[in-house]
Amino acid sequence: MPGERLLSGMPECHNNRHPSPGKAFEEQTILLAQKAVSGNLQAFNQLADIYYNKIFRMVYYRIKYKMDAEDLTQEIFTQAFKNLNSLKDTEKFKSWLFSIAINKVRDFKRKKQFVSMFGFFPAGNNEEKDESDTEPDSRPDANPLYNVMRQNFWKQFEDVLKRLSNLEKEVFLLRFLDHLGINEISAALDKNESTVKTHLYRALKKLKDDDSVKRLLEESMP
Amino acid sequence: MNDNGHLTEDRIIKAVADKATLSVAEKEHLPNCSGCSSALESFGNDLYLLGKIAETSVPSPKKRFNVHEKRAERNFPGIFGLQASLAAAITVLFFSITLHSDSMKSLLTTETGSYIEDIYSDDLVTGEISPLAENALLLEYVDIYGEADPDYNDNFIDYIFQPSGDNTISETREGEIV
Repeated sequence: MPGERLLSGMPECHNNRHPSPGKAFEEQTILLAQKAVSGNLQAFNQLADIYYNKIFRMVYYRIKYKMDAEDLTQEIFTQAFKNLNSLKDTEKFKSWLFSIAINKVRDFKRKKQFVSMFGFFPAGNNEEKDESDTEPDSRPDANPLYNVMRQNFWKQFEDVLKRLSNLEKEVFLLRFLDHLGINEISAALDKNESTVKTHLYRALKKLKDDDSVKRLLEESMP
Repeated sequence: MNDNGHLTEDRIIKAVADKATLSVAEKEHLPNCSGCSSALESFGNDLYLLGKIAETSVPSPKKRFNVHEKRAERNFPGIFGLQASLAAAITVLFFSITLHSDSMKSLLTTETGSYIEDIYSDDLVTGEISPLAENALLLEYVDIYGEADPDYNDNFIDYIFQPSGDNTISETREGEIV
């Protein structure tokens, strides 16, 4: 299977301190969200602990610049904490958190575009390229080969996503990279489920028709 | 389902997007058809693998998020933050002190108008008196400093210090200066 060797050769990315999503995990999230809304700081810290890596990854997938992703993740959790009162349904905490993240990323991209319009920064994705070219993974078990593969992967991944419209891209990323369910995507994007499904279908059709996912997996191999 | 009773490519894509979209017949067909199930699995696995590679290709964040008690207190004073409240308090204090000071009172009270009128009428009176006073005196005395005409200096000094005949200062028996 293409990509399996890449996966097996890669170091463990994140610690698995938290259980994988399941019924018990969802119930724990709801309970913590209820406590956090009623003013329990410890509960919010626990939620931040659970979702920090997920949100960081979500931001990184979209901007591909580690330092900005870290800053944005901090801002997302700060905003979430400040606006806890606006969380009406604690069962939708995950969607609510992702909707904050989506808006933050959108604002960040808009600001970046605006700044690049005036020539302060080069337009396009040069910053991303610079980052992926110059910033090797600092984890002790990360090897140079892995860093090169990672850089190649993100470049090709960006090319694959260029074929999709903004909404198709967003829905695709939320579904297959952020692992959100259709109902969660629908809540996070404030779109109805049939719209989400339609855009997801269109995205998958485009990727299936030109076999770009398969090629991306093959090309990500050394 | 197509004519051969298999899932079409569109149905497979829709199933990958959301399995709930499959009809009951399609769901029953899948476990019994290796072609359809492998097509579905293949595409599904590719996407799963893509997600996994993406996940492992993200650097680990250095920062962590933690809300402290003090930070939380700062975040909960309602609509206005602590800084905004302080700024508002300082502004109110400044205005209250300024408005209650004497100079501001005299400017802002209703007496301001009459004060200005008084100054105006004084100016008028002075303006009327000055020419009268000047006309009542001889021209040479109008310029009391004598700066206008240096030739009149002697007369001016005589006018100020009128000659008494004996300019010497003598002392009386009682010690009075004469």
